Amino acid sequence: MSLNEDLYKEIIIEYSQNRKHYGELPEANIHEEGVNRSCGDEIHLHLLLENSTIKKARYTGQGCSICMASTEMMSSFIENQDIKQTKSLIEQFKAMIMSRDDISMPSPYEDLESLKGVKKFPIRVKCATLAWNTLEQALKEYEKKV
Amino acid sequence: MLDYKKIKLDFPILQTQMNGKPLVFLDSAASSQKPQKVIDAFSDFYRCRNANIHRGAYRLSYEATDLYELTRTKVKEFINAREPEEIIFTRNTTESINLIAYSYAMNFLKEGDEILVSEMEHHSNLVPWMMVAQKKGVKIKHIPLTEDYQYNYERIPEVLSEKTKIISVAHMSNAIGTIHDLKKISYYAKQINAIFVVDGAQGACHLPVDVQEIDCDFYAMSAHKMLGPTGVGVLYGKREILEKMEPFMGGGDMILTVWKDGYKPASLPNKFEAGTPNIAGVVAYAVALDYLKNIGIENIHQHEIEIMQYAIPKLKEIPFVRLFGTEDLTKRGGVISFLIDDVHPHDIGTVLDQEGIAIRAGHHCCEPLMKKIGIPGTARASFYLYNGIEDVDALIKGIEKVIEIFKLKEKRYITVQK
Repeated sequence: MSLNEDLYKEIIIEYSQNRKHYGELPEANIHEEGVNRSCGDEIHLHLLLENSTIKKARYTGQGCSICMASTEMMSSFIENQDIKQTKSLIEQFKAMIMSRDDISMPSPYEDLESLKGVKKFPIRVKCATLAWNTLEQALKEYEKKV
Repeated sequence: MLDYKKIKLDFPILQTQMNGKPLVFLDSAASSQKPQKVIDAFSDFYRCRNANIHRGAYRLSYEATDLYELTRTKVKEFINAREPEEIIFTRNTTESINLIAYSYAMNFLKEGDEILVSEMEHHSNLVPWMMVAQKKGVKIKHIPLTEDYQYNYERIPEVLSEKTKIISVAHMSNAIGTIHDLKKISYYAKQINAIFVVDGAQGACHLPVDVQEIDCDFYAMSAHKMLGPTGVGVLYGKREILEKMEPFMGGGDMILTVWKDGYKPASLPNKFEAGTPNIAGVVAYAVALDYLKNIGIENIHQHEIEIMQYAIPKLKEIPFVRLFGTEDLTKRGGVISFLIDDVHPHDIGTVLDQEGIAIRAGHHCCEPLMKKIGIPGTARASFYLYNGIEDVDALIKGIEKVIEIFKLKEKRYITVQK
């Protein structure tokens, strides 16, 4: 097992250090908070949804590189996606992380495959999934509202 | 320096590997490892001495009782209490502090009273008092801290008043290693007649403790941080205070007599030891105390100072590494809390884990302190009698590996604030 090959791939380090979607979103109409109690990772999602489409996604909070890379990738992929597409993406991502089988991500989401390595580090799985669980909750809240 | 290489051989787990590398155990502040003798005492008890204590009408039972009570005497000697009845066995330091909160504070404090703690305390020396505060309308006040996170003793009078009924502080900070001057706090407590509680979870394992000299009213500690088994804690309390307190939990062993609609509690220490305790753990704890006594707590403390004298200057030389805690090593135990620029503590932990190095990452149950420093947490390496120079060297190599994996030397393009 090699850390660089399995967990801290170059692409993960890059996403985690180059957080283009990090920040507040004053026009957001959905805010959702996700916390991993055991490690203290904390993600606040700020989403602007219009007619069932995620117009903008931003996040604040703090966490490890896996958590941050996962959140950054997720935020970049869900912008301008409708809720249905997003839900399907959440499902596919979680299946990839949780399943014993080797599941690939369709284009253009291939970068997410870099997070597959957490499977070999069971205590880090929750770092990769925190943002996605938070997003799932956010969408539920939105659907309750509309 | 202690002959730590020889000491290491007494600890079977320190001969094992983690992730294919020799185990470098730097998490003794969370729980210490156990020497073979303690492990043997534990299993021997179950193999040939096991019986419930008190009132068993047979040899095994009264011998088990004797062994259990022998540990009480050894704890009494270890911390220089006046009598064994002042030693109460609990599950851990947390339970010991809760015992004071429930049996003393909930009964004797009233609305408007104050409890003095500090922002550096472990959650177990904060939350029980918060529970008292919520229930009784008591106010919690905090000892001011210096810039290098020592108690600011000169400023204690600012937060002290006739309303202060309890002062509860740690002997040593688990998060950043600061050793506190208990006699100075004790002086203030006596002036206003406040109950003085010491959270000794990090104290008795590393520092000489003389409860009469400190003149504290309570001293709480855990066996598992001092080479003993988990599930055994101690509460030392002054007899006159323990006697006026109500029992903490009700049940077997804590009663003198029970009738249809009432009970009379037993005398000390049984009054506070309801139900079957961790007998095997308490029995094995005696062996841990003997082990520490043989080496000498003062020698262990000195050993840790020498490790720190070696480690701190080396770590300071590494770019990107930020250290927390006072630089006055005479006021600091063997704890190194650190961060590496732009790398989250959990990532540090994962990289070190792959190198066989066990450290802890997070807030170390000291969220108020982390908030005060303005960080989510730290990586923490903590040292004990079985650690030595090569463990420091391994840590430094591990940190260099973190810097390499996160390419800190090549790219510094963080575009957003952390």
